[in-house]
Amino acid sequence: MLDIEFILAIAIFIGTASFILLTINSQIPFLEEKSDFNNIIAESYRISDMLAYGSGTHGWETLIAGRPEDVEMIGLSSGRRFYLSREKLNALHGLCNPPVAANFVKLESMLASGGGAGIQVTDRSGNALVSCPPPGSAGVSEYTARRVLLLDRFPLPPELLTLDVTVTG
Amino acid sequence: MKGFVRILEALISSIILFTSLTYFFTAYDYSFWNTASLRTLMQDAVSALYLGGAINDSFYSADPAGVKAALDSIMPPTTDYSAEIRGAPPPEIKIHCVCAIAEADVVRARLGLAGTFFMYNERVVSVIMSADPDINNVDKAADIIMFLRPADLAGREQRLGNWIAQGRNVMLLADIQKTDFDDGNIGPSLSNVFGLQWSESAAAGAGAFTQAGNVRTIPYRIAKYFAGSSDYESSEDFNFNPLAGANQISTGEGSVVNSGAVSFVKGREAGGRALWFAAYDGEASVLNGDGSVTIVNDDINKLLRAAMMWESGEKYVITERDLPSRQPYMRYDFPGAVGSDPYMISILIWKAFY
Repeated sequence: MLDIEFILAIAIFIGTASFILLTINSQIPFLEEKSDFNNIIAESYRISDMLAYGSGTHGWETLIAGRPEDVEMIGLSSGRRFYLSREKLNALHGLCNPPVAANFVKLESMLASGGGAGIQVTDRSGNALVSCPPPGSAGVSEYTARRVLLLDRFPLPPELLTLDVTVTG
Repeated sequence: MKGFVRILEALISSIILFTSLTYFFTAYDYSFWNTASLRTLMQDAVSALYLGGAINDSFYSADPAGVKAALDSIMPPTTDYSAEIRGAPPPEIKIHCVCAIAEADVVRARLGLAGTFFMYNERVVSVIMSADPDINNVDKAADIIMFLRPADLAGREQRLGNWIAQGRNVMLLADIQKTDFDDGNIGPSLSNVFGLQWSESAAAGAGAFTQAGNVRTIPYRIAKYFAGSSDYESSEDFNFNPLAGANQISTGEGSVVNSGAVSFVKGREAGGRALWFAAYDGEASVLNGDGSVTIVNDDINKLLRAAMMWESGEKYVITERDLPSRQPYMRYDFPGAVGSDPYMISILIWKAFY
């Protein structure tokens, strides 16, 4: 015959274990959401770094129109740190406008953003030099990383630009 | 009865256990991304403005408005910031003389200005002077607060000390006698504010820069500004010709121009800057055979100008706001150079609503 004390001990053990499991379980969605959002932020800065400081596959700005399969990576740098190339900005803008699904797939594969990434480059007057909107996805998190860079207009003085990379996930 | 006590014990233990466990299961909602993204934006902005030449352009145009407008447009509207450049002479030096206007004009005439400015390493440095004999009316925006008589320092040690502690710069352009040191009202200002000490030695002829090659010293900077803003070299000899028994100021840390064991120019930095410059005849001139006039002590006039460049604090304010008293702020320092002058761009940023 079971002792009342033994039954009580078992009940308390089960109660404690259940409490711990339920508490941890209730925190998991919140922590997962935070973790996902942290990944989105980190991803947006990774892509902005790649675009701002990378030059991409050599000559990608001309290859992308005719032989896109030869382009493995894109970058907007003119070769000088913080300076963006006008030709590369035009090429990226041309890739997104007019919107063609195949071009967006190609862009996503080069950026490896996982979810979807939008790229916007504007000058100080607010004129968009590049406008690649993120693919529409409802009910998801998104973050925009803003970088401040320069447009290489040599021999004219450079112009301040802002590069916004929006990652959705 | 014994069984019930055990049940009660178990219940109390479990309550304590549950309560204490909740402490360990709290998920803290902390994120560094807010500050990280703001810091990244600040670093990008300063780097782009420097590498794009906007910051150095503002040195050459003597106008920080362009850089300020760019920073205003880049920074989020909910942030406040303060930006300044340290280490290089500013494009504009404001001097307030605690003296009569006529006396300030005499000093100004020695600076050899073309209108309101002089050239230093191909860039314009403007000098704006104001004067008022009343020490209570000192211009709050002045980079240098100048005195022309030791007697004007009488009983002012605390006020001068406070100015220095607040980062303001005071200058004394005057002869000093031993009696000034012996005076209980003037002596403490000379010793404690300007860091001067009376020496029993007398000057041994012309003065020359001391330690002009040591980049860590004040003379190095003044000698650099002297050579960069005139046709003279830093090996120039300066004939102060002090009155007998005057200006026997001992050499030591902060000495800029020495003659034997005596200093003619001495600086001190303790938050703000204090500079003593021995009086000299800045107006003496000789008429040349071709009718032109040569200023006898033109080299010392140029030295005075160079000393004022250092005394200005070598600080160029882009935008200045009072630091927040409660909320934390971030600081970012970016090294740069204009001409041969290295400098440090410092930007402080904080959230306006905290």
